[in-house]
Amino acid sequence: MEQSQRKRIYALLNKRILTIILLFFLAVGSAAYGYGGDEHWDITIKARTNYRNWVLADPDNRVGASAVAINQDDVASGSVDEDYPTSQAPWLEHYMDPDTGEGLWGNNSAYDRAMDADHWPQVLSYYENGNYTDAYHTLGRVIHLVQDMGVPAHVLLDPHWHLIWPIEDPDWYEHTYIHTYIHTGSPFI
Amino acid sequence: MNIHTYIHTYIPAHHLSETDISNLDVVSALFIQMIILAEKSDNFDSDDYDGEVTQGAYRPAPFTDANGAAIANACYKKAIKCSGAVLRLFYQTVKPTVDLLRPVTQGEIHSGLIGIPFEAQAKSYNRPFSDADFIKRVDFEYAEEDAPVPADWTNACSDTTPDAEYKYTCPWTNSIDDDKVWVRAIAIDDGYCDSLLEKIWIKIDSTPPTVTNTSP
Repeated sequence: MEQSQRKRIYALLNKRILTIILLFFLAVGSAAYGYGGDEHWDITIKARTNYRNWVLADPDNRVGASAVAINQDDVASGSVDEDYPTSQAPWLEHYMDPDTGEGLWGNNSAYDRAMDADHWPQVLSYYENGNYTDAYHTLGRVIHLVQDMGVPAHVLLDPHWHLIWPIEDPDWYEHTYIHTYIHTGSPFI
Repeated sequence: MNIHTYIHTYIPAHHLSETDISNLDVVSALFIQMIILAEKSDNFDSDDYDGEVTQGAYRPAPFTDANGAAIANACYKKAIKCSGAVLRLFYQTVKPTVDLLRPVTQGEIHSGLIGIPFEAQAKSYNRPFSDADFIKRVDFEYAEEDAPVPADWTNACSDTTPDAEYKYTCPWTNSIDDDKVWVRAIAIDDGYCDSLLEKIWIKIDSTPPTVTNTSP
């Protein structure tokens, strides 16, 4: 085989390898989330609604209704947006082994992430400076991380892949049960 | 008490109806979560559940029977409850504290608070976790050992009138001592991690932080 042919073959292989790697990371980057956006929104709204109903049942003695009402969408959208940051695949930091405190593959745990400078301290900083919209939006991001701790796969450091079919290993609770529950209102499938 | 005994003590036969699930407080919901993770334990009778073992870890997949659905329901409801717990921590403890005590070293003071729902969600999976644990943990972080609960708390705060911005007119800041203030996570009774939060008392150092001006 001539050297030029070998180069062409290598170049082709390299392109294919790069493509495969790229597809892999694109797929992984959009996979292995906790709940999907709809589910996080739904859970957050339900939590907020419950809280607000509790306050309104005895408004003279319970507090926070106005704040909940004003900032409800900020909190909910924050709980969705936690899966869509700008820098890296956020879901890598959405896990925590409760026995060891470790995250997935050596990454920060969900708790570590909640405590980093972009989350809980940021909530307080925004709030102290009167930036309530961003404060509640960031609070929603923290709530997202708490919600993921209710997904068994996320506390078992089980990445539950969602690559291109049939290369996948989804979590039934997270991606079938909850999705069905929210969109049909039925607890059973 | 091992996990098997614990589950059977608190959730007899772990056969829960939808009504049972609806009535669960978050602590009970955590026990349900323990059932899920108990598959990791040799003590647990895995024949009771459908499921699969993946990478050594248990997944509730697919729950096609009533038990499985009940457990999945519990996971979902617990996510709502503990999300509510974060909201509550913020609205009822952090927010008024920030409003009242500014400038306090907020980040340091409140950073541990958020650990409460995290622990409720995750860290308590594999061991018993009681109200006493929470009280102990919070006391440990936020109060001096055997710090007295303010005797006049109830009376002082019975006149509390929250306004739209959630500010209290409670005289506590002057009634305890010069440089400490008590903040209480208000007890509620609707099922949001209530048993966990209602007894939390947090003693916060309200002394303003020392500010070093580094500008020329």
